[in-house]
Order: sequence, then C-alpha cells, then structure tokens
Amino acid sequence: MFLEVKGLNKHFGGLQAVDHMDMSIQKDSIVGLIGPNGAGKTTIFNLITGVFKPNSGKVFFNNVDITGKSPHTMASLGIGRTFQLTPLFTDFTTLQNVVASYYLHPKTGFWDIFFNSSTYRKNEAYILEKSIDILKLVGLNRVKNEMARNLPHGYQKMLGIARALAVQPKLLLLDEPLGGLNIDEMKFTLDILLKLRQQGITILIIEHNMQILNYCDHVVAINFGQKICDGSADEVRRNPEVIKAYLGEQYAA
Amino acid sequence: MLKIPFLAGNKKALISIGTLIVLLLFPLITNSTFYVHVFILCFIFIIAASSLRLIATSGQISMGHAGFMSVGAYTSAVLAKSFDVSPWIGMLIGALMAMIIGYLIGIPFARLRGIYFTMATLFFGLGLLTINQLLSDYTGGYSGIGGIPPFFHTASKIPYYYLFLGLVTLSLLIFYRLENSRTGLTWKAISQSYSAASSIGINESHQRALVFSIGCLFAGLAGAGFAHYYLILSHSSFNFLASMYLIVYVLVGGIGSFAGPIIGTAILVAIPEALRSLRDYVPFIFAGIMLIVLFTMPQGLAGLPAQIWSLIKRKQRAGNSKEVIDHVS
Repeated sequence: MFLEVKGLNKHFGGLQAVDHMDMSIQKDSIVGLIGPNGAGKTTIFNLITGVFKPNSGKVFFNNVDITGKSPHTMASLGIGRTFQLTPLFTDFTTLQNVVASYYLHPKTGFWDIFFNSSTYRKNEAYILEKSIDILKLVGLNRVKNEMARNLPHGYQKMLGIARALAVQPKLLLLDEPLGGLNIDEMKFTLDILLKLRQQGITILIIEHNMQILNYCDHVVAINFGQKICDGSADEVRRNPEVIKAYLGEQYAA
Repeated sequence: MLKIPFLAGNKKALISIGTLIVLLLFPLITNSTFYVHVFILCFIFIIAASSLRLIATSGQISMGHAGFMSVGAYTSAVLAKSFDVSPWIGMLIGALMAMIIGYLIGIPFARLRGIYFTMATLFFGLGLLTINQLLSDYTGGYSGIGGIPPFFHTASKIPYYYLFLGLVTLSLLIFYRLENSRTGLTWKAISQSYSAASSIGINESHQRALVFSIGCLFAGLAGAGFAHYYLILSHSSFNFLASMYLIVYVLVGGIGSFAGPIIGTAILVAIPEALRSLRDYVPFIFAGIMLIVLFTMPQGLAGLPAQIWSLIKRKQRAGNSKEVIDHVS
C-alpha cells in the first residue's frame, strides 16, 4: 500500500477531531477526502504531514512507519502539500516562491552557497529552469514577476500547488484546491491534477465541491472524525450516511 | 569615461566602493582624534546592528543582542587580562563563545515564535549580564573591569580606525553574501510563513538557530573589539538599554534594507557623541527620532531617497494631469 493510515486518533482537549481513522491509498490514484465542515479533514492532513502528532495510531508511507515525524522530514520523504488558506511567501514574487521551494532537490551545502561555487551556480540555474517549467504547467508563467500577495485568489491557489510540486512529491496532499475558483479555473485545475497523476504523482485531495467526485478513483467520506464511507465515487454518492451528513436526515431515505 | 566591467551599471557597488575609499582616506585629511573616535564607535556598532538585522531576516527580533556583545567582550577581556592571552586570539575566542551560546540557546528558542521569542531573548540577555556578578573575581562584578590589554600599544587611534574599518567591511561582505544567496532566501521564506517553509522541507528550527548563532558570532566580535578599544567595561556597557539601542538603530535606518542598520547606526551613534552636553537626554532624543521615523518613513532612513523620488514623480504626474484638464476645459 502506498499510504496507509491505521487507527489514527487525535483529540484537542475534549474534542475528538479524528476518531480511529483507517484509510489506504493506492499508488497513482486520485483519492478524494470529503466531509462537512469540521469533520476533521484538515486535521487528518496535518497528522499525515507531521504538523500534529497523533494521540494514537500509525501512518505508513511506502510501508515505512512515518508517524509523528516533523513536517520538513515528511517533505524530504516526498510528501508535498498545499494549505486551505494558502500561506504563500507573500513578499516574494511568483517565481521566487517556486525557486525558494526548491530547497531539497538539488540540495546545496552551506559553504557551496556561501562561496558561490560552481556546484551552487549550476544547481541554481537548474532550479530556475525547472521553476519556469512548473509555472508553465500551472499557467502562472505570465505573472512570474508579480508579488505573490498581489495575485488574484485563483492564481494564489495555483501557486500553492506549484510550490508543492517543487518538493518533487510522490504524494501530493491538496487542501481544497478548488475553493473560491470560478468554473474555468476549476476545469483548468482538475486537468492539471490528471496530468500530475500521469506523471506518477499520487494525489489525496480535500474538497467540498462535489465535481471532484468525477475525477477521483476512490473517495473517503468522513463526519465527526469518523469514516462513514469508503469506496468509488458512485458508492459514496449513493451512501445514505453521506447524504445524511450533507443534507440531513430527511433526504437519507 | 572610465569603465570598470563588473561595476558598470551597478549603482550599489559604486556607492559602497566610493564610501569605502572616502573612509580609507578620512584619517589622512583630519587631525581630529574625536572624529576618528566617533567613526570607530560607528564601525563597532554597525557590526552589531547589522548582525541583529541578519537575525531579523528570518523573522526573529532579538532583544538580548547586547548580552551577546558582553559575552564576547568579557570573554576576551578576562582572557587577555587574567590569562595573558593575546587580544587577537581572545577576540576570536570571544566571538566563538558568543556563537556557541547563541546556538545552544537558539535551538530551544526556535520553538518560540514572534513576541514569545523576543521576550525569551530579552530575559536571556539580562541573564547573561548576571554572569558578571557570579564571576566577579575575574569580571569585577558591578564595578566593572579596567586595564584591559589593548590591540596596539600606541596612543594613536589611527590603527584602531583601520582595524575596525577592515572588520566592518568584512562583516558586511559576509552579511551581504548570506542575505543574497539561497541561504538568505530560505531565511526570508521562514520569516513569511513557518508552516509553508516546513512544508517545502526547510528544517525551520535548525535554520533559525543557525542564523541566530551567526548573528551572535558577530555581536561577540563587536563586543570583543569594543573591549580592547575602550579598555574598560562596566556593568552598564551592555545592559538592556544597549540592546534597545541596537534595535532602534536598525528600525530608524530601516529593517527592510541592507543599508538600514548602517545608516541608522552612523547617525544615532554620532548624535550623542557630538552632543555630549545633552548626554542625559539621549533616550528622549532617540525616542523622538524613532517616532518621527516610524510615522513619516515606513521604510526607515534608508528608504528616504526612494520615498522622496516617488513623491516628486507623483507631483509631476499630478501637474501633468492638471495641465491636461486645463487643456480640455
């Protein structure tokens, strides 16, 4: 199994945010994680990426136990992520955001950087070239010299993805990438996700927008920190628990 | 016109080299030891203030920076006075000592963010001062330490001038290189978002401890240099107010620009030295300057030329559009 979550538990004080969560993700798939507000989706992301440490339970990545490792270690293992509220490097340009995110590959030593060695200059030239490639892929090359804080919301979301791609992830966690996007931007983003899967990136995606279901190979629905359904998009759509969670008791007949 | 290839069109490099040449020639054209003295003080505190700003590029404001100057100063002074170590070697040991303490304390402090980090450094800086009392057999405690061996056994201040000009130039070159490389980019990324920085694989707390210890290294260097120039250290040399002054130098000059602490220090060190009769009012004068700068110059003094330039541009544009309106009506 590519990513496996076993019996994950997290509580904040008396609030059980994630309750015995089990989940597994196959390689080269797009997996949706859906659920109403406050269901614990982002908490699960933060547990997988090491921002929070779980109270109990394990996370396995490529069959290796990675539970509770720090966020930067997770990135070096090949887990990239975006954030719901896009904390970008707002004082950097679009291009600088991606260039700065090329921190791990290739890694340049402190003294190489300090003495401006040929290794450093070669690596930086490579990074610049690759960063432009990423910006072209996500359609931001046109605004590469704009300050990130001046970008419109949709572009900022894309920049979040571009930055996560600079980590060279094998697993990409996207937290509501479609939130606040218009129809065209949504279509564009979803097409990019398909392209990324072709390149061998496995994607776990949190979304409220049900359009995402058409693109998911597998969907996990949760409510109040518990898994209520796990299956194909159609199964999840028909599941009475899911309908109840989203629409209320009376629709769940 | 004279053309030097690597300088062509590089305004910053031209200004820096021009300033350096003027400073190199300055002792030759003046007879005043007083001005030489003021410049030496400026050089020492520019090293300290710029190292404080280097730490600030990673989003960490340290309120205990003078404490690390005192580590360098007392280490070097005590080594030279009580253990007959050469001031030159003592200065290096003092600087390294400040760096080591900076790194050891920087690791736990890197878990603190924003104002909590600042408060921790404030109290640690004060704590460092109490070491003077604990080791009062060597450091003299409250009464201070005198008769510190000098660098040069001459009455002239000129050798000191060139020594500290060299040190400040070297330090600033190192700071500039650090800031304008991937290392600096990483630190600036951390300052903008801790969570985003760690999500791209930056070991945020390690990097913050690293930049903190590098800053402390140069604070220790400046402190040790100060000790072997002033030859006396008192309890109040590196107290809380000294840490505050360093922050004021950086803020008045402009924390956002490399030249900020240089300009801020040059002006604010010179004022109290030039107005000795008003010495007791220095905190008030500084507070006034600080308020004026913060209210009218958000980029600090270093941003003033750009600010004036954009004001002129706006005036011109306003004038032009008025002409157009006049013409149309």
